[in-house]
Amino acid sequence: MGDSNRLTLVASDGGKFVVDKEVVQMSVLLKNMIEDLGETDESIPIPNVTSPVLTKVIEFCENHRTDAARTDGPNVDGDDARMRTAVVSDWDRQFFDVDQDLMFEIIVAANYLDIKSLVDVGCKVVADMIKGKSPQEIRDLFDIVNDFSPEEEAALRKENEWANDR
Amino acid sequence: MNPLSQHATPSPCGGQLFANNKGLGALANELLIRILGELDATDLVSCSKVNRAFKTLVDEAPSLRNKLVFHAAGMREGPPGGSSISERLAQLAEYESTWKTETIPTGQRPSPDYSDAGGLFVNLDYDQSQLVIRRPASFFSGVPEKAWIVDLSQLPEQGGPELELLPSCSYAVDIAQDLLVLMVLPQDDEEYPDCYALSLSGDGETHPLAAYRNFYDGSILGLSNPQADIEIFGDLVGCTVVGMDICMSVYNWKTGAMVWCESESDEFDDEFEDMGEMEYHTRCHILDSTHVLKISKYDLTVYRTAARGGNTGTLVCDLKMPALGEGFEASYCASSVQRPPETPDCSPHFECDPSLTVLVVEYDVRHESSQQDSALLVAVIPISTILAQVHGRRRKLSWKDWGARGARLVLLPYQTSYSASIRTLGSRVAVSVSDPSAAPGVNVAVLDVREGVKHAKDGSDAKREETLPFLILDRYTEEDTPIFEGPVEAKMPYRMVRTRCDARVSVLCDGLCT
Repeated sequence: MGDSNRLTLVASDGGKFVVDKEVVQMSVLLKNMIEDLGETDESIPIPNVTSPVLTKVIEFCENHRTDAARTDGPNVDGDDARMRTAVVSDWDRQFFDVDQDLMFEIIVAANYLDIKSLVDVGCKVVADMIKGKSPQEIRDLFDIVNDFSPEEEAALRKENEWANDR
Repeated sequence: MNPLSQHATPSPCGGQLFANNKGLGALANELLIRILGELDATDLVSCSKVNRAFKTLVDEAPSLRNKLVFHAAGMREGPPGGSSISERLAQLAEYESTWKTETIPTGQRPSPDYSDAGGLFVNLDYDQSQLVIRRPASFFSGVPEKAWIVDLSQLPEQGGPELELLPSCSYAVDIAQDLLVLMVLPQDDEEYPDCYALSLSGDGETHPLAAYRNFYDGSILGLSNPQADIEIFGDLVGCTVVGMDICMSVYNWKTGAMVWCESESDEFDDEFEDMGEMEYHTRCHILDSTHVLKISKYDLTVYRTAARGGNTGTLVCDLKMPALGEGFEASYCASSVQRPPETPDCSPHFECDPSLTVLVVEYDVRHESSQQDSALLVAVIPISTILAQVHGRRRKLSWKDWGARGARLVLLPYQTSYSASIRTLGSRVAVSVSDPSAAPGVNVAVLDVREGVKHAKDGSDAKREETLPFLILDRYTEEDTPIFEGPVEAKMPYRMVRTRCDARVSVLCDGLCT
């Protein structure tokens, strides 16, 4: 553990990950934590994130480490605004081509670790899955139970008459 | 148990909505709202029908609810500035309630001399040598009334025509570009027409961005009572000059270069030697910065403008107006392009969504075997629909397919004058027709020309109602069978209201412009 440019993250199940500091700093939570700790050899526990999820999160950060350098620049807001409107890249889409539980766990972990670009991409990917689908198709997609009563469903149809029927 | 609950910012909906923490339920409301925020209004409605948790999110998150409210009204939030979101929503609610109570306010046209151009009233006053442009206030959207008066009395000293001596002229105004294009048509049939690019704020000086004061390069007209239609779109000026021939040309007013031209001479029929019988209704309209539309009865021909040097442009495609069924013929056609108004000086509370430019074509139609009176058929087609057709290079579309892309037809009775007022309001087109049975009264229908807007489902198959002064239809085919499928209703995509006011001077105030 002599390398001062690397540190160790420990997942909730005890899995250890040695990562470049620069990569870890994409997480605002960990960046602040490192600054508070100062120079230390101690490993950082991530109690809410399991090894499979942390593997994916680190994979994303490794791939986007050069973007991170840019967001450190003076025009953070401008970059953020551009990120919001940009379409999801092919790499990001492939990255999220995993089973649904893992996909949602990655988004939750990214939000906890405060990795803005990963949360952003994740939300866009989920939104893209919903686009153009009927209510029933959305239920099937995410395994959601319809808990409306028939009366409530009728009222909903009336309320939204202006919308295209799907 | 949710690992995030202690970190997530409090959501507007209180606790977690999903019972379990697996899958979608693992996400905090804050994240779900972010995901839903990526969706358009139609998808949001689908989501709100999924289950109670989704419905609560959509109903209670202000950002999502507002999106639905604006969309249902066919509006979007205006540019930032001035009013708060709650003020905007209150204005929108008030606007919507005027439709429900049929109390849409009407405004007064300053006088019948004023012509209508993109939500503005414009009058070239020959006696006073001035051009008067008036923008009426919009009751709802917060656009204030404004007037521009351009003094043109100095025009002769600057090498221009003397207005009070002018036999005939046509003009177009673009406030955003500070541009007045003035075409002077000579009375002497041996003289050439002129077309000036003038600055509005400079009281008729040459526009500072124009390379030439007079850029027109047309031939002599050979006719003592010529007419012209002028339109401006960005750098381009479209001119249709009707003399012995119809001469259509498009210029870049900044460089003075002609980028497209085409002329058409009427075939002389001995039977119709009288000029009045000739059909002079071919027009050119600018679709976008590189495409020009020539409309001639049923033919919509699209050309690409010449890139540099040449002036003929290239033919891109030939679309047929498919609205007329077999055996019908049009004896008259007039066309115009209506662009949404620009309001560079203020930020309205809300505006039509999307804001569309619309081609309006009016036909006098008659069945060839019928002795009955003809009727006036108005086709309303968004320019974006035509351009999508051009870029997609699709084959011929039936009217039904055009309809799905936003095109609409309105059938007006024979007695209607051609001045039946048609005004575009962003993605809406207001058709107002005076109602002789309820004079003074005007019937107004507003059509939504957004792509994808469907007819309300449970409107039943509409029957021809005697009380309706006009019909909105899918396709004009046969006179005796039910000729329209869609309902005419006081809700989207069609709204209809009858207002009682003097037809000649009143116009409908709706949203952005009057």
